[in-house]
This record gives sequence, structure tokens and C-alpha cells, in this order.
Amino acid sequence: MKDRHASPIGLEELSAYVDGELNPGRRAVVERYLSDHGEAAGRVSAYRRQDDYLRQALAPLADEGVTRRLATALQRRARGGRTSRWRMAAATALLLLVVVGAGSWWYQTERAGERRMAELVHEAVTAHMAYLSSTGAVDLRSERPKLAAALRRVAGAGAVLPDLIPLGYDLIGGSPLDESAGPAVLLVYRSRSGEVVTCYFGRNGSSEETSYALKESHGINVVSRLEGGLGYAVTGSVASDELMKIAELGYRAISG
Amino acid sequence: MTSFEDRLIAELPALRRYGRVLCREHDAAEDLLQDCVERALQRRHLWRRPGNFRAWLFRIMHNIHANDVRWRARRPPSIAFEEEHAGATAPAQEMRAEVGQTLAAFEQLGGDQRQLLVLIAVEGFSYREAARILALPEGTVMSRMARARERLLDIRDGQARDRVRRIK
Repeated sequence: MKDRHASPIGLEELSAYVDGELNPGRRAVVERYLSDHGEAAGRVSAYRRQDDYLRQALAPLADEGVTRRLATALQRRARGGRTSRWRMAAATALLLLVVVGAGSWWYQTERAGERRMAELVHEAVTAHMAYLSSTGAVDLRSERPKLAAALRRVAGAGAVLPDLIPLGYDLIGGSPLDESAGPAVLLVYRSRSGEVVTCYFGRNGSSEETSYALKESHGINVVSRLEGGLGYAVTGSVASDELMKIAELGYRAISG
Repeated sequence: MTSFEDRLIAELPALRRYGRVLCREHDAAEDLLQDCVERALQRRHLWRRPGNFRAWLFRIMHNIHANDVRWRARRPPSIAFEEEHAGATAPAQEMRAEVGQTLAAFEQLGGDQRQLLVLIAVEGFSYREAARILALPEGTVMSRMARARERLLDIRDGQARDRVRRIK
């Protein structure tokens, strides 16, 4: 029997019905209405059909290689078990790099010197990102001697912690690192306006000597050079000429 | 027990899709996904309530996107490393005509309507969850969802009329 006096059901309620958002009482009312009103029932099936097309249309976006690589990096991180905060942050930064493509640039490089340089940039940017994503504050008074000792191990007995105060950057922290190629150390500097610049020193087995090279990715600049078994890289989101000045001043601290 | 990372991995494809809907542009969407994963890892200790993990992740992504405009504007355009990725796009999919038309119509919608349709019709979030993700009242979600559906139908009707006109 037709219920001609039922008040019309609005589009809002039809849409909510399709989404299963009505309480049982309203749902029963809407269902009764639909069985009586062909136009409203047609609307409901049009909504459902359209939702289905939309799901099909957007399905490919949820199935591309990038998330597989991210997933692999995350799995490795999860399997890593108990690791230091620093290592955890480094793993996080690494997965960022895997995705931005610095990693692939490294693997595609064939000549040994270029490869060593790419490796250096990769390590320096990873350490830089790891620092930015780590939250732990450092007590610099106790850290300073440790950092200085780590730097001497990497860069030679005459090396001292670079003083970047003339360029407006204070040493705020850092960490000794154990890279696959050998010991390394990351020193972190910050300007009064909050820009963070890191200096990375790492030992490697090569004897390459290069001048300064500049790389840029995602707004991060890296100035790097190889100097007979020592890799040196300065990383930060600052202009490349400013970064070059920092690199040159920092280099003086290890070249005696 | 499923680890935090495993649960995050399970949501990556859907998050990526939502990022693409938020940003439209490929590179910006990849950045957004990375930022979202990073933020979720940093905030894992803030994650407590069971059952709403997906909504939590989507809200993180939504908030990063909403707060991002200023930050992104500060970053210089990036070059070098990523150029090789610029040409990479989704593999062409064979689509039924209706599906392709729906996608074309969807692309014409405003950001708010696209977000709602994806969250509710594609991802299956409830109005309550969508309201939390988008920081909107539930009633607003309900009325906007209805308008988004109608708008999508209108655009497709318009496409159909255009086709008829071309055939005549």
C-alpha cells in the first residue's frame, strides 16, 4: 500500500543511508520510502554506482612501488629491535632518502671517486636528517670533550672542533658515528635564527682528493670534498654561498 | 602482536592515495606521505586508543597538509637527485568508460569535496571519523557529503550531455 502522506526524504538523508549512517529507526523509514518512490530509489542506486566507480578509479593510486620501498625500510627498522634513539632516527632519515632518490643516484654512479663522494653526501645528509628528527637535548659541556676526541680519531690528532661563531653559528651538539666505511662524527651548529647546519667528517678507505662539490635535494644543500681518506660534508637548508663559507671556515679547524 | 610499523605499513597505500587527492601533484604527494610517516613515527608514544589507528594517521596527514602551505613556500625548488623521478607516473590502467568519466568528474571537484568522497566512499570512514580527521562537525560532514555526491552526478550528467551534442 502506498504511503502518500510520508514526508519526502531529503538528499542528505539518502546519502547518509548509502553510507550506513542512519539509526535503525530512520533507516526503516527510508527503506519504506524507497520501496514507494522510484525516483528516490534511483538516486540511491546512482550514488552507490558512483561510489563504486570512484573506488575503481582511485584504486591504482593505492598500489604503486613507492609504498613498497617505504614499507621495506620500515620493516627493517622494526626488525632492528632495541637500538639507540640516534640509530632509530637515522633509520627514519634513511627511508626518507631512499624515497627522495639519493640512494639510487649513489648506486648508479660507477666511477670510484664519484661513488665515494656520493656515498659521503648520502651519509652526511642521513646524519643531518637524523639529527633534525631526533628530539633529545644534549648536554654540551659533557659532550664537547667526547666530540673533540671523536673528531681527532677521524680527522687526525691536530683537529679541533670548528668554531663557526664568526659566521653566527654556535655548536649545539653532535655525535660520533660508526659508518660502514669507518669512524665518523657529526657536529651540529645553529644560528640565532634557528637554521641548523651540520658538519660531517668520515674516514674512508679511498685516497681521492677533490675540490668542493655542491649538491641540492629537497631544499637541503650539501657542500662536500674528499681529502686523502677523509670525507668532509657540510649540510643545511641555507644558501649555497653561505654554506660554502661555513665549509671553508670549518675545514680550517682540521687542516691545522 | 602486530607492531606499530606493521600497522603503519598496512596503511601506506591508502595514505598515499589520500595524499594524492590532497595534493594532486605527484612530487608534493610523495613529500606529504614521507612527512606523514615521519610524524607518525615521532608521535607513536601519543598513539593509545585501539581501533582508530587509521583515522589517527589520516588526521596526521590532513593536518600536515593544512599547515604546510607556509612551510613549502619557504623551500627552494629542488633539483638534481629527484629529476630522474619526475617522469615516473602511474602505469596506465584500462578503465571502463564510466570509471574514467567518474575520475574526470572527480578531478573537477573542489578539494573539500574530493577529501570527503575519498574518506567516506573510498576509505569507508564513518561520518564521525571523517569529522575528526577534517576537524568539522559531524552534521557538516553529512550535508557536505550529500552535496559532493550530487555535484559529482551533475558533472557526469554534463559530460553525458556534451557527448550527446557531439554525436548529433
